[in-house]
Amino acid sequence: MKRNITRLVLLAASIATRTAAQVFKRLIHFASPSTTAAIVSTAVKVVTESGATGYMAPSVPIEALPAWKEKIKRAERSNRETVRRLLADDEQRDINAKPV
Amino acid sequence: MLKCQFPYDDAPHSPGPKTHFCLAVDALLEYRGRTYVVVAYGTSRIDDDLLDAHQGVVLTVKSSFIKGDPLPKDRGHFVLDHVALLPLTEEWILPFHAEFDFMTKEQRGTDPQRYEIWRAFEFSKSVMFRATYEVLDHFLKTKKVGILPGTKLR
Repeated sequence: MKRNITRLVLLAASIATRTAAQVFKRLIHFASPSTTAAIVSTAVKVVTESGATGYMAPSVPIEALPAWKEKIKRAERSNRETVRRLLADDEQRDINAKPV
Repeated sequence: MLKCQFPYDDAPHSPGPKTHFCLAVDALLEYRGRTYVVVAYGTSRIDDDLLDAHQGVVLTVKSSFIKGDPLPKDRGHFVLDHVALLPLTEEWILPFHAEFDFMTKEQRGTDPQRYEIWRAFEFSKSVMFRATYEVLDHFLKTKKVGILPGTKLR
C-alpha cells in the first residue's frame, strides 16, 4: 500500500515536471530583467519556432481569455490610481501657486 | 516595443505590407496552444488626418527617450486607440528590442520632458485598454486576429 502511494506520488511529480518543462520550452526563455515600455516592469526574450526574437513582459501561460482580461483590468486600475495621484498633485500645485 | 507587420484597414486579419514599431499593451496571451500579443500601432508618419482621427491619443516619443534597438526615424508616434491582437509568429513579429526610457522614477529623474511624456501616456492609457477589450472580445467571438474590421486609421 505504502509502495503504491509512493509510486503514485513519483508519477504525479514526473508528469508535473514534464508539463512545466513543455510549457517553458514552447516559446519563452528568460533574459536578464529590464524595464519594458508598457505597463509591466520586466522583460523576457521570446523566440519563435523559426528563430525570430522579441522581448515581452513575462507571463504565466494563461489558457483562458477572461483571465487575461482580468490582468488588463488590474493594469487599468493601477493606471487610474496613477492618474488620480497626478490630478491630486496638480491640485496641490495650484493651491501652492495661489498668491497669499 | 515590438516590430510588427501591423494589419492595414483593407485587410484587417492579415499581416500588413510594411513593418511598424508598435507598443506592446501587456504580457503574452496563451490561448489554445498559440501565443498572442496586443500592440498599439506605431508610425513615424504623422499628418492631420491621423491626428484628427485619434484626437488626444497619439503619443509622440523622441528616439532619445527610447532605449534599446534604434528606431529608423527621430520620433515614433503611437496611436493608442488603434490596437491589434497578433500571433507571436515570424509572419507578424520581427526581431527587435526597445523600450520607453521614462516609465520609472529613476528613468525620468529630474528631466521635465520625460515627466511630461510619461504623464501624457498615463492620461491616455485608458483609451488603449478600452481598445484592447474590444479587440479581445472580437477575437473571442470570431477567433480572428488583427484589428477590428471596419477600423480606420485615417
